[in-house]
Amino acid sequence: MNYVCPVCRFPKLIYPARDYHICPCCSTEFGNDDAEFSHAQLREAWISGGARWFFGNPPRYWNPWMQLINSGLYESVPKFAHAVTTSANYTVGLKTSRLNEPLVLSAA
Amino acid sequence: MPKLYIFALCDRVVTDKEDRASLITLFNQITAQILPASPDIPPNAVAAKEWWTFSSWEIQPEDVGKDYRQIVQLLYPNGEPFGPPVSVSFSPLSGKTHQQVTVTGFAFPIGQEGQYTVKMWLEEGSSTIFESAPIIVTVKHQRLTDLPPNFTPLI
Repeated sequence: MNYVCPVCRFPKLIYPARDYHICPCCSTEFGNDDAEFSHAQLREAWISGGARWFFGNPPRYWNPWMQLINSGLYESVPKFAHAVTTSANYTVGLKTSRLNEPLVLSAA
Repeated sequence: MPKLYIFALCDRVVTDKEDRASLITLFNQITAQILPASPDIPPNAVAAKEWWTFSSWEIQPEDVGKDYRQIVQLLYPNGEPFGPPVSVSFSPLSGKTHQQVTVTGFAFPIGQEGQYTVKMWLEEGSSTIFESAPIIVTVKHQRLTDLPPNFTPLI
């Protein structure tokens, strides 16, 4: 059975988040660190430090921001860019049919 | 084997009550604007921007009742995967001419400038039976030289 870290939301803790177990992702020691600070405060500290993996190698595909997003904590993810916009560099040619002729689309 | 009819990347897919799909804003470029004094974007950064892939497969009579898996995977410019592959299983129904598959991503990686690849392939059993031409998305960072006119800093 896996448990979720209440601080960084790492979903594969082997032990429950208590009894001085340590999260391998954010390094929170449960019962010690979270006795002094709230989980939100500890999360903020982890994020402001770069949201780095703490112990050993991270799991394959691990991304701290996706971990937060997948757990519903969108608002905790820093806004890395002022604005993010999409665009397309397509070229499309459109030839409209006359009445009673099939519509013809062609790439330019 | 199902024959690929459409594979596209867009901002959103809307499906009506009759399963007719509309693709909203196809794109192949993402621009991340950075304010003049802001730090560079870290390589693992993401933008909380929804993105969808839409696929439509033309069903052949012999495909009915078979089990297929469509896999989508997003790769960084260096070829490293961004997140695990997303697998959608389907089993074509008799009387249907097409099988539609949508995949939703809740964030797009923007940390590395360059060409990201959206790969898609079809599996039957443990074999890959078809691989689509990939969709390439170019991510650019644009550092602004001046603050935008209506910019209000957070205090």
